[in-house]
Amino acid sequence: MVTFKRAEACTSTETVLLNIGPQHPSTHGVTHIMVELSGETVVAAKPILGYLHRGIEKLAEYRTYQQDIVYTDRLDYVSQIGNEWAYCRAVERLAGIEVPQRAEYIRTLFCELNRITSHIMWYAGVTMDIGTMGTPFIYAFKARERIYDFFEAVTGARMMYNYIRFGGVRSDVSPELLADMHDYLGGEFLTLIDDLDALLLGNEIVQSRMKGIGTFTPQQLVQWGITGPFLRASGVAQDLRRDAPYGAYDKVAFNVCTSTVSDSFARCEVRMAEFRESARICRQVIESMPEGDISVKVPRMLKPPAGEVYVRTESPRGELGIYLVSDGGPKPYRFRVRSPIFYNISALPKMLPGWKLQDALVIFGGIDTSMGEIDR
Amino acid sequence: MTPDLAAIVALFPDAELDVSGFDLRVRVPKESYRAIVAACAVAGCRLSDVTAVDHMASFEIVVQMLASATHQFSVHCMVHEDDPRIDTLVPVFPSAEYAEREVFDMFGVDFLGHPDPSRVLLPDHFLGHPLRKEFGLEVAPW
Repeated sequence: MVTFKRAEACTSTETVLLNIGPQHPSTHGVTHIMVELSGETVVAAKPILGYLHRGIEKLAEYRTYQQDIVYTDRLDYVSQIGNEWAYCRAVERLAGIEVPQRAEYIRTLFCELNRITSHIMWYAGVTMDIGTMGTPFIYAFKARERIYDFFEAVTGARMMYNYIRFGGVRSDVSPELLADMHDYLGGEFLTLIDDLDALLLGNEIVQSRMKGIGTFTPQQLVQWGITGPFLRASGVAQDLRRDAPYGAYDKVAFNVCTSTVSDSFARCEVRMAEFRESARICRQVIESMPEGDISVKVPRMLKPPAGEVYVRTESPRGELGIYLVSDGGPKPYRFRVRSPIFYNISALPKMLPGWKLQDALVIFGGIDTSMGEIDR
Repeated sequence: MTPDLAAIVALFPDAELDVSGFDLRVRVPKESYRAIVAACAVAGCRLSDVTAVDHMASFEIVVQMLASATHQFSVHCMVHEDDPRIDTLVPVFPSAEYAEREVFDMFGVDFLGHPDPSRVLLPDHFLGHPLRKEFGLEVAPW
């Protein structure tokens, strides 16, 4: 006669340690998360960071202010303009450099285009996380390739632009290209976003995988240091573009996209809405682009006065802070990057326990990691 | 409603307010460092970042804080090189955990009472603390 163990004896098993990454296909770079599983439920999680550490903060202390611009490209390598701009704003504030209006508009335009391409990377990543084998990925990259053509026409590069300069930008944008961008962002792009929206948010499998998954209260998220779309999806309307405007953000109308549901699905909705808001900002910036200089003359060997400055900007992933200390010399004495994703990913040990393994990947996809900025 | 920083600082006789920079700076000795950050937290301030600067003979711990969305200030505390220890902020701000680990990793400053005092970006067997000024780029210690 077959005897069965009592049910409760069967449900408590030994825990298993599982390495997610560093070379897992859905890990967005070289992420390594060690999770402890009881059955399929996560009981503990720990991100293991540093695989992409290049010592950028140290290297920056050995280069001149001008030379450090190229390093900022390589921090968050899917939102390069945002990093360059944050760094240049910090130096400009320290050295008291005024930026011409046209340059501010061009910076805003390219920063928003970059936010779109960065969110496309999120879209590609999150759909891979839930098991689509690349179809939404390739669909979304249609827009990314097109926008990278605009970048290439102006900066000469498709990824590492090195475009923003102290006191302005490196090259001007032609009226024809602006008209071309305006047409694209007002027509074809919006149609594609509608398609991507239906493909992701309208998909029954996506809905059942994401709705009600990763529900955290706004208080928890603020306490864990979460910023950006992840926080906005919980109803906290916090966006530095509106709260502490820089560039031309105070001259355009846009909504801060929020949701009150605070689950993984809401995070997708917020980012899908941000695509449209970014395109709207771009179109307004193009329409009201002033004529004039694109840069002011800045000494090649810039020596900002001794002092320190902390500048915060809204990157596609949250609050990006640059802390600079100058001793009056030609090189920064201290260059510190407050990376939004470093803070977001550090909350994983508090977020993941209690969720199933497949939900953990969905929650992780909502963070939208970019390892270059975490590891620096 | 922006918290009244001057009133908070006035509660600590050893803290001083520095208005010479771009943003407000609060300078505190090690003894009242955590107490003043905790008082700011109670008043509704948020933590933005924890980092450090090496001034050769001492380390300056810099805590970037936000009194409101637009009003930022920082808390500065000097830690002598011979005794690089300071209270952790994790009980006040849980988000400081990884940032403090990074300061330990890069500068070798110990945070007393930290839940996980280990390196974060560099491997555990790494020798030295690279963001210290004496750690040159020319000489690799391994």
